[in-house]
Amino acid sequence: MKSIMNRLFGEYDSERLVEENRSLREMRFRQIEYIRKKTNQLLLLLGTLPIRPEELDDDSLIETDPIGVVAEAFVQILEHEKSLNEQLRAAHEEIQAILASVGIGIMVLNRDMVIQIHNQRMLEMFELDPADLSGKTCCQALCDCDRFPPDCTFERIMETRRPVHLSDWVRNGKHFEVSGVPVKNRFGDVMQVVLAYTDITRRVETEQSLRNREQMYLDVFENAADIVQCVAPDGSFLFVNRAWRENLGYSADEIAGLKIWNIIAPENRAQCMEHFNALLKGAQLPAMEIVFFSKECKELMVKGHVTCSFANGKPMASFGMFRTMHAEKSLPSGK
Amino acid sequence: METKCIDMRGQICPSTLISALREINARKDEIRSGATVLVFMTDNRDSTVTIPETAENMGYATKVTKQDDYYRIEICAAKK
Repeated sequence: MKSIMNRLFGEYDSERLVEENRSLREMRFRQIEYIRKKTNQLLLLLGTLPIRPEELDDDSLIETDPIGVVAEAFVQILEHEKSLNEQLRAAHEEIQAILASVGIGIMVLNRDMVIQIHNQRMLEMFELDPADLSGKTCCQALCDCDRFPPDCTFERIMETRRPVHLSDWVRNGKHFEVSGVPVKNRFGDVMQVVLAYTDITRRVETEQSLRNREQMYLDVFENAADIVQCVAPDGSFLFVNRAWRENLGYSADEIAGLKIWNIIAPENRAQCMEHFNALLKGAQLPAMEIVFFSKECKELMVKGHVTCSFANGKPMASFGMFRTMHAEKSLPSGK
Repeated sequence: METKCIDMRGQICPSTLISALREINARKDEIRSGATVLVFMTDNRDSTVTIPETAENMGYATKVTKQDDYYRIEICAAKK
């Protein structure tokens, strides 16, 4: 070969061509290496394996242009990411608007309990400055301590990895309903916790006031001289006062098993049941005289009124207040 | 809507991924408009992860179904 080249091109030119050929082969080798290296870098970014020479030989590599193919894919990935970012930005603004508009305090904690986000209502509700929450744990900001307080909602969520609801949490004399929800990653690990606080102080105070008023009325009825009873639609007793128990001879424990027809004299029973059913249907009855039947089977003639309370159109309870006829008759005339 | 089938059986990843990306790039406008659905037939299991994952990152919807002796990877426009 060399002798043929020497004859064709002369000895000097032949050596120069061999050298050029060697140089070109080296250059092509480096270029192929470069393409393989860069292609593999891009493939690794896509989460796949490097390309092997036996999969794609050098000529096919140049013809396929893998860098161009993957680069074009990356252009589309970036365009898609840009579109996703716009959607995320819109969603973020939507969430911020929701956080600002709701009447409950909301904050998001990371898995170390450090406050990440909170809404304005949170600051107002707990009378805090933004600096009071920034970089602090929920314990430090709300419970004034460095460790989990007893019955800590965050701690329970981290333990159970489930939503937790606390119906009445008290802080500085104010009552809050607390709902906590874990935010998990795809492996099920809790990464964040969202806590929502509703100020229920007014509701708790109203309920307490209603309970006090109810107790007051119960005390009034309990100590009244008249016989007072409250009967459910099924005929069971919801409430009877002391005068009722004393006149009819039943103890408080015995009343649980009694029905209204057990204390009505047999000859009065049909008429009373008629009245009772009419009441449950909404009738308003005039004052009535009834003969009650005591535990000792003694008859007790009483006179009084019975009314019925309804909720959503359904009878809830009948309320009766009676005075014994004997006591009425024994009153001196003229009084 | 046209369905374009590309048989890549016998190829392994990442060659399958490069081939699939080349086809997707060449028909990106048709796929995005909903005019074309690309279907790749492959018997390489790795490709059933790498091709759909990359295509989804590019903003396409994908569906992989197992056929008798190969996998069918469908690439189409994502729902808006």
